[in-house]
Amino acid sequence: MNLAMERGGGRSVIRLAGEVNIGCAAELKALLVEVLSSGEEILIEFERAGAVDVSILQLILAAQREATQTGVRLALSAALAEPVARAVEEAGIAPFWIFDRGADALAVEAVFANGAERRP
Amino acid sequence: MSNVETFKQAFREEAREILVELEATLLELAVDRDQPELVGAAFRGLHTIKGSGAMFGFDELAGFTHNLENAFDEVRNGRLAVTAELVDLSLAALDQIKGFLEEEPGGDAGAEARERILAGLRELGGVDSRSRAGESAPADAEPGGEAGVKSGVKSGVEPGGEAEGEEAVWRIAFAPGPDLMRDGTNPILLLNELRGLGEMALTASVAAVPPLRELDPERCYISWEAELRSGRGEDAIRDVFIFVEDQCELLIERLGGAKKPVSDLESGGPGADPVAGAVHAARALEEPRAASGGRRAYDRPDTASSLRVPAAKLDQFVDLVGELVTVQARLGELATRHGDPEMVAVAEEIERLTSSLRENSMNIRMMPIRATFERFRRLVHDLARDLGKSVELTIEGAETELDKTVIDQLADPLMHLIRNSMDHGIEPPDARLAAGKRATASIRLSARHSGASVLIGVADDGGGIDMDAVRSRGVERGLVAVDAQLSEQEIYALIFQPGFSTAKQITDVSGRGVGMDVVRQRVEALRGSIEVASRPGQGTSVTLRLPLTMAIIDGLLVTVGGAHFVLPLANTLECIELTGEDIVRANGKHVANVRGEILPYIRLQEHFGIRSERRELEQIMLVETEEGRFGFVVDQVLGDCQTVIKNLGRLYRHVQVVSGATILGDGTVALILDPHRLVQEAIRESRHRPRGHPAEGVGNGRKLNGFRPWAQ
Repeated sequence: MNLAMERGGGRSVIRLAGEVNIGCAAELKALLVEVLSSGEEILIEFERAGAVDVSILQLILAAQREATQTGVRLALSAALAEPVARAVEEAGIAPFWIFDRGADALAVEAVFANGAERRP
Repeated sequence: MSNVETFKQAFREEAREILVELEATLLELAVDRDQPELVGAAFRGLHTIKGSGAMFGFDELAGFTHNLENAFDEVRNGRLAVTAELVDLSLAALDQIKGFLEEEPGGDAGAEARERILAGLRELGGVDSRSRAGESAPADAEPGGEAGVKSGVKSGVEPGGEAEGEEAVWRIAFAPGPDLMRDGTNPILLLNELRGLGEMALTASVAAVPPLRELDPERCYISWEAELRSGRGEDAIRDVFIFVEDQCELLIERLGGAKKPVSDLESGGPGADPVAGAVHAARALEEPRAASGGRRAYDRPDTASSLRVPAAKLDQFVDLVGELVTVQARLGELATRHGDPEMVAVAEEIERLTSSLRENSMNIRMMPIRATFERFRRLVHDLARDLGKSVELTIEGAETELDKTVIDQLADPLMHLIRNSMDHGIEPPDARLAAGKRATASIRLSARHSGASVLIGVADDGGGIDMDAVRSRGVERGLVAVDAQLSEQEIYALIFQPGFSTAKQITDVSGRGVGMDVVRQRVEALRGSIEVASRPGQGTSVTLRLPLTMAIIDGLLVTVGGAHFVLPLANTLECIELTGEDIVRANGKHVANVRGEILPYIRLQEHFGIRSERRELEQIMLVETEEGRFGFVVDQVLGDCQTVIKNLGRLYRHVQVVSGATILGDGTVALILDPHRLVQEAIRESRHRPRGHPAEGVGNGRKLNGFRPWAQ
C-alpha cells in the first residue's frame, strides 16, 4: 500500500510512500475528499514518496485549491522527497504548487511527524 | 487467453491494420515519389510497429523494423531518394514483418530473405552498416525511452544530426486527451523527452483542473505550452508525441530562428493577458487539424463505439433471423385465415418488426469492398515487375457495400481475373507503343450497385480476346464442332471451360488453364453471373453480377397453373393485365403494348410446360433485365413476400433459371426465378428458331430438369 492515512485529534495525515501514480489516483482522491469534508487539518506527507505522476500532482492541486476556498488548513510536508520535487518542476507546475503555508503548516507538520513516528 | 496474450493479439491486429496502410502508402509512393507526407506516414507507421512490437515482446520484429524505419528517416531527411528498389525492398520487408507477426518468421529462408533486404537497404544507403537482421533494437516501448534511441542507435545513422540542423525556436502546445493517462502515458516523460531536444521553457496551464469532487482521477487536466530552442527539425519534435498523436491536441509551430528571450515568452503563460491566452488556446485546438491533414483523434469515432464480433456469430444471427422470417410468414397466413382482427394486427406488427430486424441484420453484414480491392494494388505492382509490364490500377466504387459472405468469396475470382488480364490481356510496353497506345497499361477495378445486384468489373486496355484463337482451341479440345456457328458470348463462354488456355507458354502467373473455370464456379456459387466484353486491340472487360445478399430477398409471389413462384421484387417494374383481346390484337405474338411501347413477354405457363387452362385475365409482370424490359405472364399476383432463400441442392445446380426455393407460410415450396437467366434462355432459344418468338413453343418443362414441385 503506497497510501496511508492516520486520523486523530482533529487532524489527518495522508502519507505517500514509494511510487504513487495513476494506479492509486482514485484512492487518493477518495481520501482527500473524505478529509476535506471533515474539516480537519490535513498534512500530506511526501518524505518517503518515490516517483509521482501528473494524476497525483493535479489531485493535490485541486485539494489545495479547495482547502483555500473552504478555509481548511492543508499543509504539504516541507521536506519534499526529491522525486516529488522533480516531478513538480518537470511538469512545470511549480508556480501553482504551495510547498509551504508558513509557520502554521510547519507546526502542524512537526506535530504529525512526531506522532506518526511513534506508531508501529 | 492470458493477459499478455490478449495484449499481443491486440498488437497483432493493430499492426496488421498499419501494415495494410503502409502497403498502400508505399504503392502510392511508387507512383508519385515526391510526396513528403507519404514518407512521413510510412516512417510513423514503421515507428509505431517497432515501438509497440518491442513493448509486447516481438523483439526480432522490432529489430528488423528498426532498420526499415531508419531508411525512411533518411528519406525524410532528404539523404535518400525514393526509388523503385527502395519501394520493392520495403514491400518485401513488410512481408517479413507480417511473418514475425504471425510468428512464422520462415526459418532459414526467412532469415536469408531478411538479410537480403537489409543488404539491399545498405546498398541504397538507408541502413547503418552495422545493422544486422537478428539485431534487436532497444525496446523503446515507453515514449520516455525515445531519447535513448535517438542518441544511441540513431547516432550511427545521423552523424552529428543535432549539430547539422539550423537552430530554431519552436512553440509546442500539448493538451492531453481524456484517455492519454489512462492508456499508460506519463506526460512528464514526454515533456522530459522534449527537453532532451534543446533548451526549453515550459508553462503549464492548470485552469482546466476541476474541483476535487468532479475530478476524474485518471484524466489529465493540465496542458502545456513550451518554447523550445533546438537544432532538430519539426519531425524530431513530432516524434516525441508519435505514440499519443491520436490522444492529444498538439500544435508545433516554428517561431523562426529569432533569438527570443525566454523570459518574454513566459509572459505568454497563464498569468498573461486572458484574451491573448484564450486566442492562443483556441489556435492550439484548431491548428493541428489543418497542419496534419485533418485527421485528429477526436474527429474519429470513439473506438468503444465499434466492436469486433466473430463472423460465425454474425452468420448464426442472420440464420436465426432467416428462420424468424419464415415463421412470421406462417403466422401472417394463419392470422389471415382465422380472420381475427386482433390477431391480424399482432401479425402485422410482427411482420414490421421482422422486416426491420432483417434489414438491420443484413446491414451488419454489409462491408465496403475497399479492403478487397486495395489488396490488389500489391498484386498488380508485383506482377507488373515480374512480367516486365507497366500497369496502373485504378479503383472505382471502393465504398460499395456487399454482404460479407460475398466479399469473402470474391477475392480469389478477382485475383484470377487480374492475373489473367496482366498476363494475357496486357501487352508488353514496346508492343503497346507500336500499337499507338500508352506504354503504361491500365486495369480498372470497379464496383457499383444495380438493383438487387452488385456489378464488379475488371477492365483492361490490353489486346482484347483473340476470338479466332479461342475458337480454334475450342475445336482442338473438342468443345465445339468445326462448323459450329458461335456467337461472341458463346466463344467467350469457352474461356470458362475447365483447363482451357490459349497461352502459348505456361508462365508462373497463368496459362495452366486453371483459373477462369474457378472464377465461374465461384461466381455461380454466389448466384452470380459473368459477362465478358472484348474488343480486339482495345481491351477486355469482365463484369461479375452478384446478388447483394445471400440469405433473404424481397419477392413477389405469383401463381402459374396452380404452382407458386417468387420473382425478385428489385427487378420488377409493374404489373399490367393481359386479356384475350390484347392477344388477338397482337396477332398472337408474344408482345404487349405498354403505353405505346412494344415489349416482348414470356408466358411462364408455356415456358415451364405447365398444363392448365389459359385464364381469360392474366397478369404481365414487367421486369428490368440486362437485355432490356421483358414481361412474364403469370396467372395471378398474390402479393409481396420476404423469402428466405433455400438452396436447391447439387442435383439442380444446372437449373439456371431458378435461383433457389423458399417455403411458404402454408408449408408449400415456391421456386425463386432468376429473370435474367429466363430472358437469356428465351433469347438463346429464339436464335435456334429464327422465325419464332423468344418464348414460343418451348413449353416442355425441360428447363427445370423435370423438377416440378407443382405436379403433386
